[in-house]
Amino acid sequence: MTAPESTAAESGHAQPSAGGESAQPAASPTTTAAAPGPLSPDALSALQAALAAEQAAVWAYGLVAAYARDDAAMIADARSGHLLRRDATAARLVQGGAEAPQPAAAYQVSVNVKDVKSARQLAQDIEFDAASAWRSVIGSTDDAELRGFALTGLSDAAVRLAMWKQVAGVKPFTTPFPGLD
Amino acid sequence: MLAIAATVSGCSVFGGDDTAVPSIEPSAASPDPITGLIATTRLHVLRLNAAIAADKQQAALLTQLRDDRQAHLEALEAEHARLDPSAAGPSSSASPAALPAGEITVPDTPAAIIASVRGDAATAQVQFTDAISAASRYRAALYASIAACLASHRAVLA
Repeated sequence: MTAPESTAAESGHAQPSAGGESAQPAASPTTTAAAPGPLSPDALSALQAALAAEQAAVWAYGLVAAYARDDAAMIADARSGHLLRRDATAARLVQGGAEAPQPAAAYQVSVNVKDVKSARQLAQDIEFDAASAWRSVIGSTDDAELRGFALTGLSDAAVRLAMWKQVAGVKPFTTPFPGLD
Repeated sequence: MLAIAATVSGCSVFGGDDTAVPSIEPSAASPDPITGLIATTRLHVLRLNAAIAADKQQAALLTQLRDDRQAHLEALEAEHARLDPSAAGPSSSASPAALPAGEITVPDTPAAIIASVRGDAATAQVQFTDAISAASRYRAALYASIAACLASHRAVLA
């Protein structure tokens, strides 16, 4: 799948979060997640690529749905997962002081989708691209929080890729290094 | 009676002057954390080999998973040797057949075997996930990829 040129975004730093000194309500949890920190240039670039992959995934699953109607439930789950991840990634970029580029109006795909088989192949390509993008994020940052965020994206894509291979009868179903091979 | 005995002996049942010496302590030499991941992976390859031998119906699927774990083992050992050349040498992971069958036992029923393999995948997934935060970028990406693979193993075994 070929993504359009992404909008150049300026690297920046997150504003310090306000507050934090007020008393916690009685019902508040005893621990809270640390606020995401600013993004390094490497992490910013990788995260924007991951956002682009998620945006492309959301669009491309619409194409898969048109030809693989028997897989409607899988497609709906996958598309929903990519939608949530797309929005979370955009939010993470903004929290890190960066811009979240908008999705393209349309994308060029690597598969000529014309039937169920080719639609399932496109679904595998979608998840392969997502896994690669999230693996790159992990390899581009020392930030444990961002690594954890990216691991979720990588694992979700690896699981979906295995499910699509299983449905398509492509063996082996799993790959030893998702995002790499 | 117990309290009297404790008083006489000068120690308490729940604590006292005697300090228990733990059998496992942090090493001053700071061993490479990858060694624990290698050990877990090697064990799971052995257990998958045993499961393949015991469950003919699921042998094809389990062989796929074993091949993934074998690839993990080889990548981890190569990474260990890269930073610690003393760790290099004739590898016991050169091929699945090179691993001894040992004393590995598997559950009696096919369903229990699959549950056991799925449990191993879950255990390893947690271990690799925990190792990501403190690792170098290269290793973090390697561990994350392995953790994601293990998530896919759990999915295909579900």
